[in-house]
Amino acid sequence: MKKKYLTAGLLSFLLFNAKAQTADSSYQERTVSKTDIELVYSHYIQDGNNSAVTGGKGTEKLTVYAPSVKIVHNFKEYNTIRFVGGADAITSASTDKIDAVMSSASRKDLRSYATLNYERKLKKRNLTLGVGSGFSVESDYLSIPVSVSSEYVTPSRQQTLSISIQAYFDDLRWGRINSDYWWPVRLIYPGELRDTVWFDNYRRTSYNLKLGFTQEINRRLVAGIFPEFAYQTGLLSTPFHRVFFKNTRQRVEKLPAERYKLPVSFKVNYFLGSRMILKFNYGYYWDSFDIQANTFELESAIKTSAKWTFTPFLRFYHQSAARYFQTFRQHLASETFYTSDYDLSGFESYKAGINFRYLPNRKVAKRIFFDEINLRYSYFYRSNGLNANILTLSLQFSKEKTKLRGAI
Amino acid sequence: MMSGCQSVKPYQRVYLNDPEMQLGSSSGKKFEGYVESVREGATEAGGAKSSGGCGCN
Repeated sequence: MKKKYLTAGLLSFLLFNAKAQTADSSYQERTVSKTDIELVYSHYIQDGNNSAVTGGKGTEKLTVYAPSVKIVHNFKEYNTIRFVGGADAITSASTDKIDAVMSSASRKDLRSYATLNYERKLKKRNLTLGVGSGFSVESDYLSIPVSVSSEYVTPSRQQTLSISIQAYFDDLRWGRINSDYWWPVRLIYPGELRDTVWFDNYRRTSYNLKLGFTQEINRRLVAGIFPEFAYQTGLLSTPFHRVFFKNTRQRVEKLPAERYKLPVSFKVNYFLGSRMILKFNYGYYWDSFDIQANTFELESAIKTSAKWTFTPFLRFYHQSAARYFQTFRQHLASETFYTSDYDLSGFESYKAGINFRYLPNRKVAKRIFFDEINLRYSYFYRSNGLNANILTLSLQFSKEKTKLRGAI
Repeated sequence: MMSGCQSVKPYQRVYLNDPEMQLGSSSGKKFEGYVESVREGATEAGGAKSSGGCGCN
């Protein structure tokens, strides 16, 4: 009898102990890897009447269909791989006027791009180091970017310092996505100006130094300052932009072979009450073409519930004209550099729109979550008449891999 | 600037950790930043594009 009780007691102890082991607080579920996937579609419709292809006078009608994907994979706690890839299908009325042949081939273009970055957080130093590269290819353009970056977070987590150095190696020859060549052949000039070799260089190289300093000022306020320095050299003109002179002579746009840029921006975010976040951004810009610009941007994110956030926003921008810019037939033949590209003219631009954000927080499959939907619309208007409608839809998913581990 | 800042304890970070309080940009805002860098003479500091694509359409 005693034996029976002892055996039953021993069994129940073992069973209880085995159950207790899994529920033991010294064992916990830990994330060993996490993958965030974002699917994005942007739609851009533009209209205007100052195309640089036709010398500053002519249609700028343009539609861009731009799907893209972003994948961020975190693994072994300290490593992050980031991939961004996409393709912009472009329908442009102005590029159809590079030559007299009106064709669907010159009317349509495709820009494909991909970048891959690797970041590693150093365990003890609150320091993250990163490297990255990729490509961007169009019928008349190839760009290879290379970057290195570093970010330091202070032990209090209230300040961050970041530095990034980027270089872009570009080739402006046409022919890569033409079925007759599949290879860079030559620079494309306007049809009637192809009897002259306007440029002997087809390369453009850009170097950017980007700095960032952010500071949490109190538990509701964060600010950041982001100064940059950029240097470009090589062919900075667009070889199929026409310029018409006062004496009716016509040439291809010509800009200096070097350009320095100094942009700086200052950002402040403030959490007002328990439902509203105010975001302010001011940017200043100067470059060696004599363009000076100021940007003011205000957003207010309003959380109407735990799942919904509405963010109306406004942006105002002003720039002075580049010293090489003149309108149609206003350039003098004696000028060394000349352009009628209205992107380099003096103007103001205005942008207004709204972003809807919804957090479904729903499990859609084993370990896969549907995290976020964003729908953003904006209207862009430039004081010289160019206007655009921009719509972006993004869907965010995440996948987590967890493991049971004993506490250390 | 730093001397005027208050120390924030980990349990006081509920507002600062909110995704809307981050200084980075969403994908939609990045696309608009790309458009602005093409249609305007200036490139914004901390923006999406400084080169790498002709934007000449």
